[in-house]
Amino acid sequence: MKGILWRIALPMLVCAGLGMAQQSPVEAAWRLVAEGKRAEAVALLRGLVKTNPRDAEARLLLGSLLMEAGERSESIAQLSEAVRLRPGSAEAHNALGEAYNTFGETKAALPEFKRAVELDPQHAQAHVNLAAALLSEGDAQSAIAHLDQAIRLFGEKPDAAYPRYLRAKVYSQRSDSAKAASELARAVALQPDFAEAWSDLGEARKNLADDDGALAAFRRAVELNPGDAVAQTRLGSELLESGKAHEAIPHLDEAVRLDPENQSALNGLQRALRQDGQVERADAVKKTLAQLLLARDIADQNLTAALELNNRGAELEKSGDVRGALEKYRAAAKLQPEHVGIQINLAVALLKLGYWDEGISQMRAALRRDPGNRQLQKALEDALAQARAKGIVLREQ
Amino acid sequence: MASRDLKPVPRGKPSGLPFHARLTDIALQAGLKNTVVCGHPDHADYVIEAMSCGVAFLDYDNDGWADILVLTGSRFGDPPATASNRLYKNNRDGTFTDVTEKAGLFRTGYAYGVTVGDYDNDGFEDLFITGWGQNTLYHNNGDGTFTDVTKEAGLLNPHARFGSGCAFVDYDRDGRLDLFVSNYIAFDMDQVPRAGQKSCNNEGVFCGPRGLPYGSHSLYHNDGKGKFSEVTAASGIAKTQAGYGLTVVAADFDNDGWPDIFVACDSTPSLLFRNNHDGTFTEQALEAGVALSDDGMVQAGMGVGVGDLRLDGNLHIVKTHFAGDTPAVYINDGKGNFHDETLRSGLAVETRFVTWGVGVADLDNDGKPEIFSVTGGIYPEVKENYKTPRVVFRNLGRGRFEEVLGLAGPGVDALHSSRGCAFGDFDNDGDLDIVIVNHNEPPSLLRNDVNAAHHWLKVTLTGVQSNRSAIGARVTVRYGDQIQAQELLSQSSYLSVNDSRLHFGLGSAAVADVEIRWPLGRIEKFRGVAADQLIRITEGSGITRTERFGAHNG
Repeated sequence: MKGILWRIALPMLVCAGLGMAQQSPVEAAWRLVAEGKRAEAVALLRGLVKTNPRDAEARLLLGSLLMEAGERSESIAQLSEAVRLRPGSAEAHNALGEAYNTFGETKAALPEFKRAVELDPQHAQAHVNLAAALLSEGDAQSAIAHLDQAIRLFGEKPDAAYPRYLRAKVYSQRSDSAKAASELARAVALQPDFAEAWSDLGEARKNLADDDGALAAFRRAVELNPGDAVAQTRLGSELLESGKAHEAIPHLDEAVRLDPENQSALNGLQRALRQDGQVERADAVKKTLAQLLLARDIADQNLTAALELNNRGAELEKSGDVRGALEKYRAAAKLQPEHVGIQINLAVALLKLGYWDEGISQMRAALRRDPGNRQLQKALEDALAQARAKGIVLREQ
Repeated sequence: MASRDLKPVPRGKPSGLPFHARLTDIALQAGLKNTVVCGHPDHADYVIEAMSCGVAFLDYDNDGWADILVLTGSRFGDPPATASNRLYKNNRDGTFTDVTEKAGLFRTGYAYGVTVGDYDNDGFEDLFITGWGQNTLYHNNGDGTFTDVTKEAGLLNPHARFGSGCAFVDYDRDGRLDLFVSNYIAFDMDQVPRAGQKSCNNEGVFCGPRGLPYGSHSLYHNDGKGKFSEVTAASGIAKTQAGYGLTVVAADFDNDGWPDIFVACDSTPSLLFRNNHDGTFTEQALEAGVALSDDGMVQAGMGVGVGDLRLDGNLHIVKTHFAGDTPAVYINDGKGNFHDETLRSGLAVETRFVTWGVGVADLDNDGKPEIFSVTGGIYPEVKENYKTPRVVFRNLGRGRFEEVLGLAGPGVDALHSSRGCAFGDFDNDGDLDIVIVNHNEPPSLLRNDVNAAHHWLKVTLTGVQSNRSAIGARVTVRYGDQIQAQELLSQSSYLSVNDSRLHFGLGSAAVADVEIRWPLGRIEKFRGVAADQLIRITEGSGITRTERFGAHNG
């Protein structure tokens, strides 16, 4: 995120430096950001936008700050307005794309990134963003050209590390571990503190049967980011494979601490402990792993059984046997008490049979789980109105 | 059917070595013409139609020629009246005659697994076949016919079950074959959504196994006089979460002289029941390193090949899985501790296919066993990758394998949706042929023609104090500077049974030393045994017969 703001800031600060001896309001906002006073910066920018709604630069920075604060609606609104005001600005399109991406809306982000690179084919970061979005949509083929372009544009700058890291992911997907390892080696040479790249470099080397190289890369990844459960697991597992069970244990322990449901780490840990002679602990970890696996299966089984009961209830209800349906829905809800669809069916069946209190209570519970469901809200209101009309006193108001 | 969505690792530089085995499908010429029915050709309503079944090489009439039993399934809503398990008698001229009706084996329904063994030690191989609903024990009457003795033997299930894997095993070493049966899922058609209903997936394909209740596994003790009693609880088998069990292999993995039981499980951890020598077992697959993938994930365990991949005298395991995953190679340290060597072995180059039956078999008689497997999609609705080729990994030595592409003959490259396969020498020419179950097609019979002057040796065993089938006997052969162990298994591959005549390729060695460890522990050694023959060894009596086949190089 810091990177995003810096990329927006640089051209504006340059403009400010050239054009104005005195600090501009947007520049002042930037200074506040630099001092860590983000709330003040946001307040200042909101004021600027209010005073001058056509201030695209203020909106751009404000939208980006709000994006970092997780305020989706206002962030997207500000950045969309910035794009409307500056339709020819690659920077604005790129920033809007980044906001969409941040809020998990990759499909909406894609056209913004595409427009950004159309407007400015030299915009290396927009190429990277577009490629990353394409990759997350599973379109590796289209991503390649943008990654290669970004790599060319960044040259030997540290910024080239990330597109190289992504390029390596494409090579790995295509089982070309040698090229993946080569890109990752370049990435870590350009940005030696790039922990994820070190971790992936270890994987690529492992696939190339370079166990020593893999181990060295995993060690570096963990040194750089000990809080990365994946890197800890990879290092621990590689040590275990290399016959160094004792050395593997702390890494696998840490991986489990960071991610208690990490199956790989749990399995590696129980095996490492056993090889290290710590049988009692190994058995305890094994038990945890077995329980985790079983719990997942039981959850799956309950869900399937509940959905089947729900379907059979729907069939009965359709055939006019509401009481029979109610029985199925109750059984389904018992297995999946948090499933909104089942809860709604149960509520409707209850209401149809005149169990107003329980039916409305079920409907409220469903609405609490799915507060945006307007149809459900309307159904609840209707049910309440009918209950009132019938003079029914509800326990829960 | 769990996929790990794994990408294949790069293939190394090709060895460029020739491959001296050529496999050609001659099933139709040989008379294996009956279609194996497995659901509708274009869709499957329930998982019971998709899992399909195994196949066995057996010599039911003791004439020294391998006959073939092919199981079959059925079709929901439209069961073909003629879809039955089929027994094909070997005519000793490269052809077979369907003797199903005459043998009393005609049976429609859903069959899955088979195990072959002489449970009453009367000198004739009996059959146990698992199925959805009931399993069936067929007693071989010794006159070419069989009798269903399931009820009399005490093996009738009190309620319908989905029997899958099964293995005769003398777990308490009393000289009688007991029986282990795995069950895939608890399947009740009234409770399981039919394909197209969205209860368990949005793709409109059949439901399961994930989301359906586990089956449970059973152990039956052979009490003698044709009776079995269930000892599932008393033996400790019931203590374990069963998972979705498929192929069963009973073998002595920890070399302590007592058979252990490995169960390949689909989408759940596989199981290894370690024999405690007192009639009980302890499940230790996680401890032993054979429950999960090397990165701790559950895999869709379907088939199991067991053999001496490393030529170190130990039994190693190959387990097959879903597409998007590699087969697993578990290397045994001889004490029953396994190490996942999939990546280093070279098998991680292949992730394209759903893989089922598998065997560790020396196809080119060079003294180093290959890994052969059959593949096929599970959803007929998904045409892409439904019919797929067979896969051969040649053994390069030192635990390294290389996929053989385009060199092993048209029978390997042909596309089918296959399930079980079994290895045996149906034409008695000194090499290993392969019979394969194909979905909604007749089976394949891959005749092997080895085009190299490699030697071989076959060993057939008759137990006396031990069970007569000698199931569980360990044969270790030394040839040249190599050593190779094999154990007589009553099920492996995918729910299938191999020829009980153990086949050893010897490469350039013209003699071999043979050591037998019988199921009850007696050890017999034979030095300087000439190659290119079958030797029959009877427990306590040494080599009681030899037989030279046709051309030594097959």
